[in-house]
Amino acid sequence: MATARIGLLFSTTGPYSALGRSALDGALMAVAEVNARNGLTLVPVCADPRGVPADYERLAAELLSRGDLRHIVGGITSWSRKDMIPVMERHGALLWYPCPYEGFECNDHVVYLGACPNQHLVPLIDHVLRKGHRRAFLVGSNCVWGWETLRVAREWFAGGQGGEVTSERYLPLGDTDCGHLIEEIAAQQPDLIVNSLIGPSSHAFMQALSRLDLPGGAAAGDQRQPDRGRSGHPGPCGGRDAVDRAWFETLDDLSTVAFRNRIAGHYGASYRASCNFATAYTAVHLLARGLERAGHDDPRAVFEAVAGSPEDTVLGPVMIDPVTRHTSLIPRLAMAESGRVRIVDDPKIALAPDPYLARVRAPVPPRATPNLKIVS
Amino acid sequence: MLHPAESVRAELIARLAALGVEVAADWPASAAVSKADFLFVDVDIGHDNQIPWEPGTAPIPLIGLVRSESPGRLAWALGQNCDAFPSQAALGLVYSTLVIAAAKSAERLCVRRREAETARRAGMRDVLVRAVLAIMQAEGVDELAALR
Repeated sequence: MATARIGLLFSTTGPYSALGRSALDGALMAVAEVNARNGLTLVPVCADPRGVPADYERLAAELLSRGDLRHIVGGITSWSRKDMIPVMERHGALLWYPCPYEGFECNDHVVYLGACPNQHLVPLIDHVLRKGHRRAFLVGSNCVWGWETLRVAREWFAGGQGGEVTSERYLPLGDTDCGHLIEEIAAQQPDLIVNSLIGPSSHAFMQALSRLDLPGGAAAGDQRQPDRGRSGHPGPCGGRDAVDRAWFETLDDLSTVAFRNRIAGHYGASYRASCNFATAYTAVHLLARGLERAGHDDPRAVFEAVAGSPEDTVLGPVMIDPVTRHTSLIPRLAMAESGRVRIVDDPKIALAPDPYLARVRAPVPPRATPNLKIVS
Repeated sequence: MLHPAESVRAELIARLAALGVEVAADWPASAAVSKADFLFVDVDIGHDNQIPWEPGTAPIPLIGLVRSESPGRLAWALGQNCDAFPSQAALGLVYSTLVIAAAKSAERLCVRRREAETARRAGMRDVLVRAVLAIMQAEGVDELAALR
């Protein structure tokens, strides 16, 4: 096919605009690269739901209503994805969702390019447990991402691993008032903080946390922040902030170096690219490959044309699993230090997606201690 | 899974594969039923002889796939004490179906065990009465003290 219209639906304004802008930048750069090859021409149609949940459904319906657009790359929050799915189903369209999310979903009208918990949260928790952290404070945004990632964290941490969850707290989406959380952390002195806050809440929390002296502390999580989203702040725990992502711009393999140079050529040398940038970029390239191979834009044919075979991408060699519709990804682990990200583990081998945590060994819940007392 | 329609069997096999669940699907009978952890059965033409337990006493989560909504067939599924009744047109929701059926089945089996224990104890009332009488005589106490 010569030309395909594709929807790019990211909130580039509103409460989590930094995440949306970064993903849109990645998608648009991929569109420019595809179009420069003089084969398929992608015509991107951008829409900005401004972080307003209802606008995702409305704008997705608008994009699909003309009948000449059947693929949308977009959505940051799970709420937005879940709102768009019924629209995709009604129009027989396909959503290319590029963000890490909480798993437990597998919809016929979605391709999941971001990591699910066995690829982001479980390796991270295994890492901090290996490092000897045992007392965890869990904090997340009051949304499906926060609830579900912390549920997995709680089960993995407390489930037979010798860990203890000191507290589990939620902030309203977009809330930056986290003084009470910091007070609670100061009182409990956990040796690990699992952060599933989103956007400005995470930023405010990490800043406040950095002012707290937590001698044995370490932070984990924060998968949804831009990689340099802390504006150069040192990590709150003195270089002990662990993050797990499918891509970091500081990776030193040849593919990433070349990708970094292309990004610098496109957006300038000072541009900082996030993992969402790279996954949205990958989504558009895989979509383009599917369109070229299928020869038309029928969503099922395009999906089948890219699923099930290894694909070379900037994320490394990945594969979209035709059964779960999720992508195998390399779970890379890094520590945030003084605003820089230091890769501590780059396994090179992609980890198959397991959105329902059905294939990883399940944690064994601690055996209840009999509560007997002798009365005379 | 006991279902006559090849298309429904294929769809359910694919959806359960995403959850890491292996499916043996057949009709009208399958040797795999006795080894299964869950059983899906077609409500429209399923019948008691296909299921290797007394109606209503499934030892595993039993899931009735609703097709035509015939009242008589729904009555049959209710008599089998199905733990979930998803529509076969909505197999995309099979994860919640498994979660609900597993929880309901566990609750049903727990109630059944409790009822069996209550019945066992009720059946031993004569032993209790004799024990109370013996203790009253031996210890010289009243019936409440003996019962305690």
